[in-house]
Amino acid sequence: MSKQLKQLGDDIWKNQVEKINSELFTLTYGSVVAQLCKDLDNNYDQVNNELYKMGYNIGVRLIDEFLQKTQLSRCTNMHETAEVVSKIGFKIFLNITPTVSHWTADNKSFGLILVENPLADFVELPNTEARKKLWYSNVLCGVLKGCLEMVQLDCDVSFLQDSLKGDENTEIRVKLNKILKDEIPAGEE
Amino acid sequence: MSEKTKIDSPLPSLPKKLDSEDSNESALKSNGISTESNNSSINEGRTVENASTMSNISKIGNVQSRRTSSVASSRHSSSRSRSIVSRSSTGRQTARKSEIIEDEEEIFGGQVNACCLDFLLNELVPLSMRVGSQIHKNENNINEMMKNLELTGRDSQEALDLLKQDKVFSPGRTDYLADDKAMTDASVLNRIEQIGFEVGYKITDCIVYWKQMSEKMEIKLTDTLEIMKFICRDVWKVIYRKQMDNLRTNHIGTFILIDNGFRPLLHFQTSGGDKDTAKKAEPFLRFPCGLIRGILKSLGIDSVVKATVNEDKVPSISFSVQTNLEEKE
Repeated sequence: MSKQLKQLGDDIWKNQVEKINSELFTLTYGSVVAQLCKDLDNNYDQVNNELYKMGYNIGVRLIDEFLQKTQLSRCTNMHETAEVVSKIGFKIFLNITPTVSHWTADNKSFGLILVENPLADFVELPNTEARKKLWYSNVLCGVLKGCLEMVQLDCDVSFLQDSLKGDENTEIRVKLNKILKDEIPAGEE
Repeated sequence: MSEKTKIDSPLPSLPKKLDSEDSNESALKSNGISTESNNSSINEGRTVENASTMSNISKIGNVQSRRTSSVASSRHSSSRSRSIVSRSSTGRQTARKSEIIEDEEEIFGGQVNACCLDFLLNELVPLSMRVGSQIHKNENNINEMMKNLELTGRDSQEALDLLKQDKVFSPGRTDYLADDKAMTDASVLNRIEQIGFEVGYKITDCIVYWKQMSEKMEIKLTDTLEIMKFICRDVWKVIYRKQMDNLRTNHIGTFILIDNGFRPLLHFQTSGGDKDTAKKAEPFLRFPCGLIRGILKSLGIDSVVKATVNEDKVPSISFSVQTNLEEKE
């Protein structure tokens, strides 16, 4: 199963995706974060929050692109979801494959370890409050949250550690709260 | 008026004028988050080298060849296998040759899905509006906290915040486009343009470098017309994956760049008809305006850039660029 997914992810990346240079993307994201820090007066909690919201907005749209490209059907359990997120989701958008690890015993929570992170290439955080508080790539959490919510999985997504802060790894934690019911949007009966 | 002052204001996160290499390094380190674009892994030598490139660039104006060569040498010494010798002018020829044969990954860096960038750029407008209201709220909060200090508990304040929050944050929706006040708020628009400016200011080096590497020839950006062609052809291709459709000039410093199918607005439509669509498209045009201004600035040209929708027909956009600012005064 896992092999098939990897194959699918690679195929889509190779044949169906319009690609751009990652440096351009890195630079643009960096400018956005820098501008945010400046505007919000280095209030990093607010910066994190804004990045998260931005990610969420992206996520709810990005899922369409994902489903259209992959034509995948529903996952049967969280383990499958985790594999799809890592081997296809991250692969076809950022061309990276995070490692899925640290499952909790109830099989509801897992970690994604990012060995490379295109958002944070060439980035160094100054050794001030920023290093303690800022989750530089927080947009990723928002994106995951938005995407998963659109496929009826209500999850908490947050960074556990970030190598930019001097941690050993960069790890995103995904925790399933509940599976949402399919509902007709309000006002469209 | 406001645009002119913007141009004059120093760029906050880049060292503008630097004297020695020592100060370069400290300036770069102190400017908060610095996203640098280089091909190699991070090492100390690169930081210094990159900074010296920047200082070279900020000094230019007429020494074009010196700039391009400094770009090449900086890139070069940033690649892992190189020694410091390549920076000297005699070593430049051999340096360039050996660079070309390095594999593409090394030269061009990795790749990501183009729609990542599209999504990101698309979010700039709502982000900027949210930040605008957040700043406003921060100011208000202080005032209200003073007021509410004795009178009410925290609960009502929090409830109020939540209410405001909900209004501003409506994920996956386009409600924000109906907010006329925020849509025309100068600070909101300037924030978007500022991000464009920063990207433009920093990306010029990279684009020149990529082009030189892929076409194996030196490109010369010696006069304004050449630079405009560079923007129309190369910059647009890198960022929007298409070229500009038309470039016009009156030969005294004003240029009109026309893109009949501006990518980010290709499927942009509102229910209010063409006029309404054109009006609501405006904030989305501030990023490319800033981008063009940033690129020109990094090549030593001050400019004023305005974008208009051609005959209210989105996505046909014309950018008017004025570059002869000083001669006019």
